[in-house]
Amino acid sequence: MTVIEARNIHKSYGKLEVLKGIDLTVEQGEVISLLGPSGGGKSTFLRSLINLESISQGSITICGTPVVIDGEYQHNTYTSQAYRSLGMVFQGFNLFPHKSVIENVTMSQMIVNKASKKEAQDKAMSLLERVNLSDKRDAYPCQLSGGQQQRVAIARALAMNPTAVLFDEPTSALDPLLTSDILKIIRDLAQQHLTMIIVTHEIAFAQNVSDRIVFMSNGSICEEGTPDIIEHPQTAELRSFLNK
Amino acid sequence: MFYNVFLSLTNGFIQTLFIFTATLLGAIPLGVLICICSTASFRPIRWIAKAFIWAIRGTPLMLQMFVILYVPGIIFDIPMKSRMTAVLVAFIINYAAYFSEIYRAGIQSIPAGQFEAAKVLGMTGWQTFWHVCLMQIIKRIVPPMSNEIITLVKDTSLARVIGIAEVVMCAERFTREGIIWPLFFTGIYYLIFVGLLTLLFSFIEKKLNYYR
Ligand SMILES: Nc1ncnc2c1ncn2[C@@H]1O[C@H](COP(=O)(O)OP(=O)(O)O)[C@@H](O)[C@H]1O
Ligand SMILES: [Mg+2]
Repeated sequence: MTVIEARNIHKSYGKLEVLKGIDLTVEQGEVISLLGPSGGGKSTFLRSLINLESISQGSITICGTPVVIDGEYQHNTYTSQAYRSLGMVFQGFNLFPHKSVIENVTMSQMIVNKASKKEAQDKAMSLLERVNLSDKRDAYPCQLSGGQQQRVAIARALAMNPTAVLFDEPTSALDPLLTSDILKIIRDLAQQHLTMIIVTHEIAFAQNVSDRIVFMSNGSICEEGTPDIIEHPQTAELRSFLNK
Repeated sequence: MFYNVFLSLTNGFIQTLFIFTATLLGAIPLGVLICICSTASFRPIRWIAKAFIWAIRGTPLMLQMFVILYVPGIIFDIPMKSRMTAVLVAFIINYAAYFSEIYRAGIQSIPAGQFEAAKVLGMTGWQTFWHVCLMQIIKRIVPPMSNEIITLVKDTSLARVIGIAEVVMCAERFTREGIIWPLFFTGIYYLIFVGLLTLLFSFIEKKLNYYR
C-alpha cells in the first residue's frame, strides 16, 4: 500500500521558492531518510505532508485519500481521517508542559480517539515501557532531560496508531550522549516495519536504518536511492554535502 | 469616638468591597469577549475592539465615570438611575479593557509548537484551546492579573468623586469636624485587604508551580 504520495510539490514564502517540485512516494513499511544542507526545505516538505504548511502547487495523497489535488486542499471532512494516520515528532519535542508524562500520552487517545481512560493508560504504559520511561510516568516534562522528553514525544505519537511517523531532526536538540538513545528507539521501530520519514544529520544512522535515502538541496531532490548512494554519490551536490 | 469612626469607615469599606467584587465579576468575563474581538480574524471587529481598548486605556477612569454618569442623560434623555450603576459600568468597562490585553498576551505567549503538536495529534481548535492552552494561559496571566486586581482595590476610591460613600469619603466627613486621623486610618483597611489578596495570589502561583 502507498502511504504517502506527493507529486510536484511547490511552496514559496513570498518571493522565496522553498520547494521546487518535489515528488516522493512512500510505501507501507518503508523507512526513508531525508538528508540535505539546512535551509534546503526538508522541514518545509515534511510539514507540508502533515498540513502544518500549505503548498501552492502539487498533489498529496495519504493512505489513498487525496488531501491536495493540484494545489486545491480538499475539505477537512474528507481529509482529517487521512491526516490522523500520520504522526510527527518534532526537533523541539513540543510536549504539553502542564501534563504529566502519562497524560501527554493518554490525552489525545482520549480526546481524539475517544478511548476510555483505562484503555488509554494501558496503551500509554506499554509505550512508555517500550521507550524505557515507565518509571517517569508521573513526572512533568520540565523534570526530564531532552532525551527523555523526546522519548515521551515518540510514545505520544505512537499512541495514535499512526500508519507513518515523520521525524524532523529528532536528535538535533540533544547532546550526543542522549542522541544514541533516540536513534536506538527509531531503529527498533524500523525493525518493526513502521513507515517513517526521518530528517536527520546522522548520516551513518541513516545509511544503516533506511530502505531509501533522499537527498534534498535547495528545494529539490538531487539524488535518491538505496543507502549505497552514501558510498557512491552520483551528484556533485551530495558529494560536497558528504565531504564537509 | 474611635468606635464611631470605626463603624463609619467599615461601612464605607463595605461599599469599597462591593465595587471591587462587582467589577471583577463583570470585567473578567467581559475581558474575554473583548479579547476574542481584538484577536478576531474579521478585521472590522478587530479594529473596533482595538479602538475601544485605546480609548479606554487612553483616558482617565475618573473621566469615564463622568461620561457614563452624564452622557446617557444628555444624549438619550435616559439619566443614569443611580450613581453606583455609573461607577460599576465605568469600572467594569475600564478593567475589562485592561484584562483583555492581559489575556491576549497570555494567548500569544503560547509557543507555536504547542498548536502544531495538538494539530498533528488530531485535536480540533476548541479541544486544543481547552486541553492544551487554557491552563498554560492561566499560569501566565496570574502575575499580571494580580497586579491589575491590586490596583483595582485602590482605584475604588475614585468613586467618591461622584458621590459614592466608599471608605475614603467616609473618612473625609470627619475632617469637616476637624478630625484628620480617620483619613490616614483608611490606609489600614487597604493594607490589610491587599495583604490578604497578595497571600491568595502567591498561593495560586504556588499551586500552578508544578509545571513550567
Ligand atoms: N515561516 C517561514 N517564513 C519564511 N521563510 C521560511 C519560513 N520557514 C522556512 N523558511 C525558509 O525556507 C527555507 C527552507 O527551510 P527549511 O524547510 O526549514 O529547511 P531545512 O529543514 O532543510 O533546514 C529556508 O531558506 C528558510 O529560511
Ligand atoms: Mg529543518
